[in-house]
Amino acid sequence: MTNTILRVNDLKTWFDTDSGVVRAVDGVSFEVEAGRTLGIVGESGCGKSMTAYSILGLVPQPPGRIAGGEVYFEDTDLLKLTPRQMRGIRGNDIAMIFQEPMTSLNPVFTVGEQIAEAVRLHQGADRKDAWWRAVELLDLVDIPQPEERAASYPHELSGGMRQRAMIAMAISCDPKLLIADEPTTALDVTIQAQILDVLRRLQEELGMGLMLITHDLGIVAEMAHEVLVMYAGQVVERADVKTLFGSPRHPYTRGLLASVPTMSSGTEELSTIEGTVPDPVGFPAGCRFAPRCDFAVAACGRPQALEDADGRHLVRCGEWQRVVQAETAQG
Amino acid sequence: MLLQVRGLKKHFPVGGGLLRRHRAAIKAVDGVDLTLERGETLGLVGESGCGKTTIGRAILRLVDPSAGTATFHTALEEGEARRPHAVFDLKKGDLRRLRRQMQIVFQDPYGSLNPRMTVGALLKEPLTVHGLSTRGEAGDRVTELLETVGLNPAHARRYPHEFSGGQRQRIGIARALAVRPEMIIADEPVSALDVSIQAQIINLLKVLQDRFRLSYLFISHDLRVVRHISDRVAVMYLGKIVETATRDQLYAKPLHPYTRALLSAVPLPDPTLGRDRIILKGDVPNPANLPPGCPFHPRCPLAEARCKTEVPVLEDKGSGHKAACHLV
Repeated sequence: MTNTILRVNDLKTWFDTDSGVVRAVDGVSFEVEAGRTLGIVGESGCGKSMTAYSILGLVPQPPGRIAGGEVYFEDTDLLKLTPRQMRGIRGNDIAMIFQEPMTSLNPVFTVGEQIAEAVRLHQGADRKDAWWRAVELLDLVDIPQPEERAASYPHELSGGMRQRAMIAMAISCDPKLLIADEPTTALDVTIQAQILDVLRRLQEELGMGLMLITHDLGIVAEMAHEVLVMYAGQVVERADVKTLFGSPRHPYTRGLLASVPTMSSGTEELSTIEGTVPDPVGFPAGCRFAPRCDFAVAACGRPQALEDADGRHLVRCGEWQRVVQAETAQG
Repeated sequence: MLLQVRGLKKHFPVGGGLLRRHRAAIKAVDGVDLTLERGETLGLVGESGCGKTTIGRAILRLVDPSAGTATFHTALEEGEARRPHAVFDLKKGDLRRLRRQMQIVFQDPYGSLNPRMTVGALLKEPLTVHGLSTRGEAGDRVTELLETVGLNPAHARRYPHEFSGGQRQRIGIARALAVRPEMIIADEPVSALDVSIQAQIINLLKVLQDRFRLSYLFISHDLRVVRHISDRVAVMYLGKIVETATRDQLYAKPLHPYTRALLSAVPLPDPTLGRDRIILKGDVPNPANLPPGCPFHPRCPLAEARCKTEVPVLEDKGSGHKAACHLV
């Protein structure tokens, strides 16, 4: 029996700009289950971060607006909540960590004070208890000498330590869902490995659902149970992690996977996806990937549905069988 | 041999002020030797703050080195014989002539192109500075350069902001190529780009290398990218090279514990791989206050007593594969 904590249904987040309507998120649906990690992967501008902001009610309105859809957290539609009600959920039941922890930490307070403040606000603890809880949380995210570190200001910490402090703050209220938006992108690879390790361990210990947004397919492969591939505001493929990496169906997913330099294959020419992402004001009416796709046919000029061909492997491409066959035949 | 660097050091003073003598120095680069052959790519890998960028800038004399030599074998004038030049001793005129042979491509194609100049003007500028073409010829050269890097010659009339990140990086590369250099220092040239665009730029760099027999000093934090482009690789940690080998040697059998940890930390796009990951403890130490002995010892899973006192030297561990470690 699975335990769905977040269900997003046909979410649309649009922006009104001078040059037209930008459909940043355009009909995105997915679920996150307790204790599981959903990886959302895509390149810059695909709408992955905006999906997260929409869930948390952090879309700047105007120019942005939620043009449709539902976001059920347990039994509550978050899109129908007042800002005040939303504040009660954000940071309590749903927490978020960002790419650049320095911009999310207040430079004039110590890390311990900031975590303690979150604990006091959300859990009503008194000052002293909140402080000790902060120290305990810093210890939980593997910060050495947590008592000393709690008294440090953000600028005194390294990037990796700051991100740990952010994670400590995020988990201070035992969230059921943690949204992590490129949490390790600004960090060095050895520090990234430490942070991913902390996230994985915390998820196991706390049983929270994790929504991990990243551009790095390697991170998705190592962290996620389910994967959502986004392109130009839409989900183009969704499957469990082994299926997605083992037998990708969408030409974009396949192209993306083939263009990652690996550590094992030959070092011949990397395969690329020609061209660039379409202008968000004028997305093609049909398949948004068609202008860059080697397999495009006339039928791709019509909008493609996200179809569930078998079981739980969804793909937004009417030609996927031909794509898979052609490439299998090729070798 | 194209470039030989010996004992390169760059120390930045910290603390102190107008009246006080400075108290300490950040040893950004602390005794680095490296060589680059013609037509070869040397990958210089390391994490932030290891000094890799400073090495590139010192070779170009964009920062003044504190010690060391760099010898660049080239001809400064058309028709002159190729001979060694001491990069750090050259005077203004010769330095400018030498710089024609060593160009740089930056990470941030947004920051390195003047937003008020058209692409055509951006590409003509180096030609004018080095007196390489007359006004009439320059237009043809711009067309040729844009085609070389896979852009449309009509783009010459546009401004940098009209291009995507990948296209801007192509413009940066065209600008470096304009003066027909022998060497390009590429400092994280694909780090700001999406993966599908990254692959396009890496392929382009390889094609250009074959076509013009370019040498690259390819500076990057990304071991996957470095593997794809480099013939040889040098791994840096806290201002020193800790391991250097051919690409195949290094990736097949990394020797230094830091290199091994670095390689094992790279997330790979294959969920079926069960990996024994080496997770290093702690952060990189403050370069203004380096630990005694081996600079890696506080994080090293193998460290022994002597690692805390004796500084290991970079020595040949067989077949030209060098590492700075007492224990391998």
